[in-house]
Amino acid sequence: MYVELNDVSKQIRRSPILSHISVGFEKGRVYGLKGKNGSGKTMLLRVIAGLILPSSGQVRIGGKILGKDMSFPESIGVLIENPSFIGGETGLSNLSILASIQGKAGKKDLEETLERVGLDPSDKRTYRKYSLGMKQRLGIAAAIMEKPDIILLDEPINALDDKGVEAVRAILAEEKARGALIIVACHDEAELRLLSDEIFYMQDGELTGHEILDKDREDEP
Amino acid sequence: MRKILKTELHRAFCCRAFFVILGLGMVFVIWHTVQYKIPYTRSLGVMSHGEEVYPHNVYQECILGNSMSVHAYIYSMCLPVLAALPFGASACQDRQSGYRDQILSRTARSAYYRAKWIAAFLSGAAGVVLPMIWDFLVTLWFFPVLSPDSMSRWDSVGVDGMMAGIYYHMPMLYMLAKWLFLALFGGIFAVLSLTAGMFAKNSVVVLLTPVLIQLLYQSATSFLNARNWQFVAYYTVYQPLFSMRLWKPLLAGGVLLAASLLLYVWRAREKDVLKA
Repeated sequence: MYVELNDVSKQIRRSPILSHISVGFEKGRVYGLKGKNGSGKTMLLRVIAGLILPSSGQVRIGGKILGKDMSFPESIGVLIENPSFIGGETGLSNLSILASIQGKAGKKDLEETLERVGLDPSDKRTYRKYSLGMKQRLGIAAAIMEKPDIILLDEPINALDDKGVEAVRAILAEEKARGALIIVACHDEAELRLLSDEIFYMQDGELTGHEILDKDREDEP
Repeated sequence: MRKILKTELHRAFCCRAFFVILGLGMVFVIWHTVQYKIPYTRSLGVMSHGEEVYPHNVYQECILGNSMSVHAYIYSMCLPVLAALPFGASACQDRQSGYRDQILSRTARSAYYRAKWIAAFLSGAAGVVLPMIWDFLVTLWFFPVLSPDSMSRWDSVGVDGMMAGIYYHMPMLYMLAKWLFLALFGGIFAVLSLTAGMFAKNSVVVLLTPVLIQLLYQSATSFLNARNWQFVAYYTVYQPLFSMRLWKPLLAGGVLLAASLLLYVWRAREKDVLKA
């Protein structure tokens, strides 16, 4: 397993947010997280992204322990909660600013990514003038632009129209084919079933169920 | 570190708030020019005191040169908020909006917080000092670069005043020292605001924190009859007190800076990156 959570629990101000979660995720697959509001989906994504450290248990990514061997995953793209960018910059400029931190993606990569999510790279409008759907598309673009090994998407189809949802489906399929490990949290079960190879069900910070959706996997021993 | 520093500097210096601050500074300079500089150039280019007549000079007629003007007073009072505006609220805004998640999934936490601190300090320093340098350049159009005259009763610095030797012999160096002092306090007020943003959720509260600190400090030093410890007494060229000592505001500013840095580091070391 590329990402492994071993008995991970998280408490914030003494209230349990995640309880004894042990689960593994491998590359080249799309995992869905399904649960009600407050079930711990976003917190689980934050733990995997290294944004919060577990109170107990450990997260291993590529064999390295998060928070011990590395402070954050070396190759990860995240869209957690609402997308957020610099209001006075264009979409392309916002991506350039973020991409400059690691220097993994060039201008051409960024333009291609924007086209993949259905945004025009030459659009001169600043981010604050974007519609909700455009902001969401830019958030997805930021998560995938550096071709990361791990992609975490929290409610990726929020505010998207049908065309946008189709674009997300296509992107996830392409990223999966590239070998990326994708985890999607989504409240829409029908959409999650379309997007995912496996679904984990969460309730009150615990994993309560697991379902494998792709037939090929089910046939494996 | 270098890449994230470049990113944070870009955000601090190429944002609307920074240009607004520069624009406000320019408006301030124009206001001073119209109301003060131009009328003075019309008064035969000289100041008179009884029968003694002295030519105006650039060091006294710029905004910082005359703290008796309303312009210098307003600028001194607004300095903390001017310094905080460009990037002081960025820690709070990054946290509240979730932009911090974007950055922290790409770089080490310590590098992000260090870069943000440096960017806030530099933008605060530049935001308060650039308009004053612009004002000095504008003043050069109207008044000659004459060395201050220690015999002039109009001059801003007494012969036994703080750094009087430098003021009368190398006035440009004295101006540079004043700009450096302003830049230092602009930086301090900006990082005070940044630190407040690590705790508070409201950007307005964060931006007003340095103003409040300056007001409280002013009130406390006035109450204790320690006016030569007040920062504002040192912002301008004019020295209103006889007992001015540069180490006093520097020490007080250093204590503020150290306290805010300690709080900032303590908060930045918090392991969990939550939205609010």
